[in-house]
Amino acid sequence: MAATARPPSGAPVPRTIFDVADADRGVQLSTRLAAGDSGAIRDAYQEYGRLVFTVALRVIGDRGRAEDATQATFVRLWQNADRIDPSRDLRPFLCTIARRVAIDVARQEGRRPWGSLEHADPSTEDNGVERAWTTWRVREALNALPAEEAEVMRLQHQGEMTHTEIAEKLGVAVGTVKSRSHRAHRRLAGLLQELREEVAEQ
Amino acid sequence: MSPSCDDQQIAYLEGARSAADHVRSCATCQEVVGELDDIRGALADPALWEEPDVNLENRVVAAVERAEQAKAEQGEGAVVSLESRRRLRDRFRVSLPALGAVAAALLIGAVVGGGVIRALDRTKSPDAQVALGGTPLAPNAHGDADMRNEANGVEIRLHVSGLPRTPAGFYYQAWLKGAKGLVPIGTFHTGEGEVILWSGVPIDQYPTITVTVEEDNGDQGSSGKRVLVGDLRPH
Repeated sequence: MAATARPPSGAPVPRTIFDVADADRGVQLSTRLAAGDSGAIRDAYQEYGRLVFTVALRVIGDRGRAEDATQATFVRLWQNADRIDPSRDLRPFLCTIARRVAIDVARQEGRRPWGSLEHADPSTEDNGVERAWTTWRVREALNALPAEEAEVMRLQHQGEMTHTEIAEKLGVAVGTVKSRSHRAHRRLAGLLQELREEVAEQ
Repeated sequence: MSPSCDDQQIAYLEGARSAADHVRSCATCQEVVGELDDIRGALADPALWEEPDVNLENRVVAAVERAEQAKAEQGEGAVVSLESRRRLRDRFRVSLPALGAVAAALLIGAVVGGGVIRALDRTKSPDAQVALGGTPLAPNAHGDADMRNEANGVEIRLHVSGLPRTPAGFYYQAWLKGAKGLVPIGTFHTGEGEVILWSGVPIDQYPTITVTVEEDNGDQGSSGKRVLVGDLRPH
């Protein structure tokens, strides 16, 4: 999944074929949620659950509690579904809700009145959400990689393995590993252009 | 941007030291070094590689269902229509494969403890229904019960979700609670699926259903360790 314009812009501005599909899918989901279509919650989780989880995990730092915060975030979203504007990208609202819910969980304040989505200010810049947004975007780019390239990326960055070690583990030539790594990182470098355009739009 | 800068930036993402020297000294690459560092930071972020539990999706849907049921009960007062409950349950119904092999085996026939597990029978409308919520011991648990007055007593079909299967030496016990105290209505050890329980006392005098976790130690009384609670609503 490629990214669309970052919050707090209004309707997303498609720039690639993937962006168009994303924007259409996002509008459809928002419309269904605002109309009270309960089946849209599962679809919303499949679309944005990873993003919400990433935001929560960056704030809380604990996987189990981040999952609890993710669950609470979607409940909040559903409870305020009638206030969703289908013409606006849903992700900024979701990220803001996720951050606030995660902060609550982290502070162990228990439940407190959240209020409506009108209180979710998407223009508020927060380092946790910003970094989570970038992390999610990189993750989405990784998900779009061919499996063999994604595996090299995972072993290199998560596993902190050298090209030689990766080649030995996968049973391929070192040159093959280097080629896959180069292609994968080139795709990530393509994110640069999108990130720069988003910064320019703000 | 020259091709050499392009390749240097890619190498920088890969962690090449020579590329780092170029990126930080080149005027062209300096324009994007911030974004490069953002991507490098993301690649090094453990959160990038963490995956939520595969069951989180169903947990989210179940949590929204509970919130919807609570909202419906608040809005409709003491009476909750059968149609609204069936719509809610059918909307959020998790498929059999998602419930797991154990739940599927229960639904096609087995005997567990004091209860009888058999296929769902929706031909007769229930006389009463109750939604059960989790407790601090089991915050993710939820369930609902259909009650039918039969010649042999009150048949209680309890649909349970979000509880772990009890380990050896423990079991779940369902109770009816009223002004006169507790009446046991059956035991089971699964946390997902349907169990059929029976009551020999009228439900209007015992309007609360509870489920506790019990230890198989010969003690007939309730442990007090409640995992599910719900109040009866007349249909």
